Amino acid sequence: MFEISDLITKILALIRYSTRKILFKKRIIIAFLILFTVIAVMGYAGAQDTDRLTTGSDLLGVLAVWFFMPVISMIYGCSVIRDEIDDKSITQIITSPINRIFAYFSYYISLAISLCLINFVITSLGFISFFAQKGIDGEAINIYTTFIGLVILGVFVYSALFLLISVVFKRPIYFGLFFVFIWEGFIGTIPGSIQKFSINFYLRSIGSKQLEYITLNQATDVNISLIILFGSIILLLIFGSLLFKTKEFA
Amino acid sequence: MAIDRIKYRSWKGEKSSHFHRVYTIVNNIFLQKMKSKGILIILIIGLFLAHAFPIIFGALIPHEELTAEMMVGTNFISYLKNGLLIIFTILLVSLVCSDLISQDLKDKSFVLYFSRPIKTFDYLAGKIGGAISIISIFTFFPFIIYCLVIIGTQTGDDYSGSISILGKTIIVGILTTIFFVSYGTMISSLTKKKTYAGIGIFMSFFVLIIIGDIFTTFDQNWSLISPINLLFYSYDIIYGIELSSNLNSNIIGVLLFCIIFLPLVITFIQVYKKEVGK
Amino acid sequence: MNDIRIKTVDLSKWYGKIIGLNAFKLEISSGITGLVGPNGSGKSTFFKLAIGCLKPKTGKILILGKNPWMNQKLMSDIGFCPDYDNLSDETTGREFLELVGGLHGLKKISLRNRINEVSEIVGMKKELYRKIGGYSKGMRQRIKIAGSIIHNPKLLLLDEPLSGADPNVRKSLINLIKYLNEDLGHDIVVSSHVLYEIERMTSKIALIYKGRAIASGEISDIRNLIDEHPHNIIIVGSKIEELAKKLLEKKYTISVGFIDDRKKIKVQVSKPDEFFDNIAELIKELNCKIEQMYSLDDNLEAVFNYLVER
Repeated sequence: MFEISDLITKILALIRYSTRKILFKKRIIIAFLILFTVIAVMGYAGAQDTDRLTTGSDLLGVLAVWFFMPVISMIYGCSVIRDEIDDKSITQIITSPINRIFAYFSYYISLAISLCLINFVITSLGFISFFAQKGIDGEAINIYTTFIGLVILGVFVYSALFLLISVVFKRPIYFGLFFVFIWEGFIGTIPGSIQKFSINFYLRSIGSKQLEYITLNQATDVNISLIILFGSIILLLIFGSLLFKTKEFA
Repeated sequence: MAIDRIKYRSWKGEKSSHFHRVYTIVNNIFLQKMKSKGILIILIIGLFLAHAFPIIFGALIPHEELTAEMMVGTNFISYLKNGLLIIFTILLVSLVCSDLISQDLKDKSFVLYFSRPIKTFDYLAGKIGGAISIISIFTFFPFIIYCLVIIGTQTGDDYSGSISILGKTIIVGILTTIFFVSYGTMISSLTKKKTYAGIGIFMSFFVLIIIGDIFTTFDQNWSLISPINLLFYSYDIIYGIELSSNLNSNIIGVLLFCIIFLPLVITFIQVYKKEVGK
Repeated sequence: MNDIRIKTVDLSKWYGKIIGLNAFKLEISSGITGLVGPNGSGKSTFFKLAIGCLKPKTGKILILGKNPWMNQKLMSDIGFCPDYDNLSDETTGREFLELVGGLHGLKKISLRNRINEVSEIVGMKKELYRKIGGYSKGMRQRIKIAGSIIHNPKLLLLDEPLSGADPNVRKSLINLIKYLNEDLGHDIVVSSHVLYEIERMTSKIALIYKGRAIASGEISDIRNLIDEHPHNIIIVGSKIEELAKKLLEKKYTISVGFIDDRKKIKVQVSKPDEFFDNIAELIKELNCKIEQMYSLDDNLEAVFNYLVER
């Protein structure tokens, strides 16, 4: 009992520290820039004479979910552990009596919580800046809740992926750029089987079943998509934590 | 001991080896970048995909002369308005320009430069010159080579039109190089971390492209937010191709001026602050 | 046997073609032990193996009788202060200690009390609320030491804690290290490349050179090794030929040789103490004008060269 309480204390200490680093470092300016961009773009679009629900969901999808969410996840996910390895502040963690697997999970939790918060704010304020001008009704709320769900799900998957990448590569951000812009942005939209290797595809599949405004050819069933996404999270975390546990820090 | 005054006489001579100092910076950057595996890989793959193929196809397809349509037309053989060319250019600029000034900000190596008779202008001339020397391998010389190959393989006898296009292509090459280098250098001067600078260059282009695409549905002039569209419209103007009537060419001119010169001004201010010790 | 805190048996670690440690054999007992070696000798590699950051390629290392690799529980008994700066400039001293204390299972009141206690010990209590980015070198070292003792470990590993510090800070850090051992009972292994710094802290040292432990024991034993080894002394001045003749008569002189323009001689002596005791008298007797006199061998490198040649 004492050991569990002790372990929880250690995990919480690391989560608190890591979350504070993510949310209160200068890098948060990037999140603010993205937030203002989304608000400005959606606010301007909201003032134009366009179809409320189609345009609103297109914009929210493009800005908040399919583009900025993976980008923010990449920027933070690739730096949480890698920055600490580079500046050697990881020494505190690896020389403490917390099992490295739990330390890895602590990093993941802090990353996921922070990114959920950031993306929730961006999506919500983006939604409000558009739909407040057009009118918020049940359909609009349905769009909002669907996208919030996709954002949160996407955050958990991308966080696991980029955290693993940051442990494996010395310059994870370049792999992250390739993944987000070329793999997810380009290969993930090619019709056929190859798109099934992108996270974006499964998020869109879930979205297309919930909302008529999200269209996707050959969308997979929602349950299968969820299983694949959750399965990916678990596999990525297990693999990442094992790599972190056996990693040497010269 | 009585006071022995040191008589001050202002120096009225000429600075010697001034150009050599700037050249040293240019040369240093060129050699440093050419040793980078990432840059070499992007250069080689990019030259192969974005330039070699169009040059070969352009040479093989029968043509009477080099035309503006071949350079910036909307048909499939358009050479300059090519997605691959743009992506590789952005990647190359991200790699080359990311640590141009950010590394000096991080290392505080400005002391090294400004303790010599080098001013901000000389420093920037060297840095930007170095970046241009690399980027022009992708955004200037291949353009010229393409034109020369097309001219060399044309079936027609009239070379004056082709030479005119060649002349315009030189201007386009210079514009493209300075366009990207100016922007990349500015981003590099805004942060100490070269990774952020690289991401910033890369992402800002894509974000502006996406926003431009979104806003174009409301008004075509919004497409000018995308730096790539702005560049492409500039190509059209240079080659004498008529723009869409919805587009305001004055706005194109102003935005082009801003995107080339404003970054240089911002960069100058950032570096000047270091020169004066801030 | 129970007194042994660190034991290595044929411990080797290499990074590609670079050898960090090579068949390293060492036993470190309780108290303060100085690990002395020039830059690149393997001190930091040894510490990284000791705290489980690196895995040995061959051989083994035991810290308090246990293998540190993938043994996070052992970290409760070890405190590590690295030679590199592993502090985040944006965090305050208190936040840093809260993290380290929290990672060791301290919480709330006990954590707060312990932070006050260790900051008092290292003399950083008033600076805790400042950001680490504003700390001086000495303050950074102190806060790192505070972080290494917050969980009251049995064994402290301090990697070059004095490097980069000015003389006053060095003095206070040396006193702190002695206090941590003498008054608080921590066993300490402290590394440096400067022998006389270690001498001020402890009489027990281990010499490490090119990845090997070449000698360990009391400093007096190491000193005797230096004294047994012939010393080379350079003397520069006038009337130096007469001095050379006189020196050749002495029993402790092994050889005398002229260098350059006969204004400089290199004297090899078997007993440097006797030489230095007598030289002033000789100089006075001969009325020489000596411009320079220095020993080529009174340093760690010479000791290492001697020990390595053996």
